Amino acid sequence: MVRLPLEVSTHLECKWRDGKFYPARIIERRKVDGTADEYEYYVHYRKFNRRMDEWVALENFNLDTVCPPEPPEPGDGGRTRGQKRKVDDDHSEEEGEGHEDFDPQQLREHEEFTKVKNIEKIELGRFEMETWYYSPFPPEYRDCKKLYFCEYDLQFFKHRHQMLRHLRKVKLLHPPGTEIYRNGNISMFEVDGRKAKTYCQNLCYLAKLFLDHKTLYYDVDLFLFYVMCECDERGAHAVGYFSKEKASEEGFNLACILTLPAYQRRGYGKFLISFSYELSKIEGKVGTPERPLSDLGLVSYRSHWTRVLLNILKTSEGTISIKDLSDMTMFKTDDIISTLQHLNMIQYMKGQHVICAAPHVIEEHLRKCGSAGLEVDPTKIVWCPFDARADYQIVRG
Amino acid sequence: MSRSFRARPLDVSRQLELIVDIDLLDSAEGLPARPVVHNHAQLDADNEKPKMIEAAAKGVKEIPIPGIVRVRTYGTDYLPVRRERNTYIRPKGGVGYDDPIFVEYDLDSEDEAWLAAYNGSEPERLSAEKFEMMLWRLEVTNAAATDRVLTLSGAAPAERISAAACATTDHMPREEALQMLEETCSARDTIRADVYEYWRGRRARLGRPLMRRLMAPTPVNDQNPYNVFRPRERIHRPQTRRRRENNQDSLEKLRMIRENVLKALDIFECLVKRERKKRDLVYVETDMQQLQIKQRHEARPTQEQVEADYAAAARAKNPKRPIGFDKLPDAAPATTNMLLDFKAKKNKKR
Repeated sequence: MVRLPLEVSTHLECKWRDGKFYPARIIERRKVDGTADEYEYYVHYRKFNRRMDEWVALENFNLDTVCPPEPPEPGDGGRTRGQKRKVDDDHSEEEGEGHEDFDPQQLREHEEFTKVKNIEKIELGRFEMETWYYSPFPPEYRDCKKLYFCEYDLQFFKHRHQMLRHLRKVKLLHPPGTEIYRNGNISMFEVDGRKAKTYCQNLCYLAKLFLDHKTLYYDVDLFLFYVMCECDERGAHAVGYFSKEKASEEGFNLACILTLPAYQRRGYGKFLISFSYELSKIEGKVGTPERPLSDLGLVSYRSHWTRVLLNILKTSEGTISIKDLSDMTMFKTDDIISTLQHLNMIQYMKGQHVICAAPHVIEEHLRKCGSAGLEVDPTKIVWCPFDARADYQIVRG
Repeated sequence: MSRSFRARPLDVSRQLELIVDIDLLDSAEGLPARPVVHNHAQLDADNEKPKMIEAAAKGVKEIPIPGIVRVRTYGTDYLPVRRERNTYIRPKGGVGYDDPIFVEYDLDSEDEAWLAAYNGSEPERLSAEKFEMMLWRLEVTNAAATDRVLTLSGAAPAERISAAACATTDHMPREEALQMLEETCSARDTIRADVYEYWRGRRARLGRPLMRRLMAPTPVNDQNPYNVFRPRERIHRPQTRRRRENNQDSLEKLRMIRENVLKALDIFECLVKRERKKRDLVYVETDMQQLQIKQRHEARPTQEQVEADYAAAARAKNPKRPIGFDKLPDAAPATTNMLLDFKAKKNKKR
């Protein structure tokens, strides 16, 4: 017989929205409003990424599978060996979720304070979306379950009528930046974190709802935000963005990248990645995305690197060096090597390194990549590299 | 990951051969053995849809995402009023997109509640828009007043954005505030006074500005992970390369350089002219001496021919060389160099 209410850290099976049961772990619990002793539980599905974590009612559980957490040993303030092992197990089960690059201590701390989603749903423009992760909104929004965003300046509100009243004031129907690309109904706006601070902070709050390891620790002044928009008679609607440091010491050409969930599967993520490299080409500097990459991010980047590199190899003859490939694509040589190795295309012949460029191998890999997504037309980019030094002068006076 | 047993680092600048036939490789491990031909329409259709799913060797890994729903009233909430421009949108220089009359403040629930209570049975007494504008003006004017006072008293920038500086309402006296409200938002005296009192009270209770933009940024030493957007000092690397400045002085310098270079050009042209003339002089002298020799030693009959030749040569525009000197004497043989000889030797041991 299981004792209710269930304890935090209990392992058990829980029914997901597809009707099937999956192993889960209880992260938090709270009393249901208006009841005396009914609880609801915040669960993490062990096989899924944390973005699927949610509040569920008791009836979703299969109580036969309850595996209670080990009680803490007396005199041991925090975790016991048993609990620690369990936590590590959970993490090792979630290998490949994009956590490998993390220091385990930092990861635990990060998960500790972001463990429960605060905002569950948001409304932005045409769509209402469920959130994926916790985002550190200001204190007065902490107990809010749903937020309403103004589509143009990304200002957020607790009540829909407040957002609508705000909306009637707004005259600027696009992001407060420079339009640097326009092709058909797709535009890219470059927004300076220093000049449009409120907008960029709003964008960060919004983005954090869908990005696990994004950090809002530091302010947005030192970043540029490239916001991708679908344009129509109602204005320019943000569908995704990527951010970039104004002056990156490690040669990162991209810090965070996100396509809003309502606009995924349209090839926009691939567009954003391509665009970041097009900017690198104009700057004449190789670039690479900031690590760690999310699970979705890694898939997209691998796919992009593979597609671009293999399309070059397809039409190349004779010999080529990794450096040549880097000069053509602005990919870092490390990324090129890791991609080609992942595809087993770095091979040996008579003991020397060679690249396998057999057509059937290339076609097979290209097929697995899928389409190129929405393509960037470089001729439609009107942009010159950001002058970080001049910007710094203005700031310092 | 490389499956090769030899973990040799790959040289990025080395030209690598592109091998088309996999049988030539030392090992074809991990590569498809045979060309894969797809005649299957279904398989091709599969590949047309952009994939978020990576079919890894471990097994199909689907990445599920939470749900999306359309907003019913979107079409009327957002009106189709945008007109597209032919040119790319750019901000106005300096001002950007800042609109001085845009009311940045939005009423929150507490404000709405107070307003409803204040209006009571007269909903027209004070409109939400006007209330919003008044609060906004109060906030902004107060911040400006505080900033002015602190700057005049020589406060450091850090102090000006401190929590205390942002929270204070002491530097905007009541009269000044009411005066400002009268000028910018027309409303009855009593209403203005009431709104001012409400604002004052709310500020005192909250201990911080109402508008997020005016609030003090999180202090850098605050470790609380729930607080965000700390200002970051950008590391300033002094330029190690000498910087080219872009001002009046450098323009003058460049002008000077230009003048000097042009003058040098003139000098060189004169030099070239002079040297040419010297060369021509040598040719003419040579001709003259040759002529004199020939006149003395050649037989009489050839005299006229010789004189005619030289006369023609003298009249010619650009004497290339003196007559009879078209072919220079053979150059001296190259000096022998033991090392060069050794290098060129064919039977050198490798």
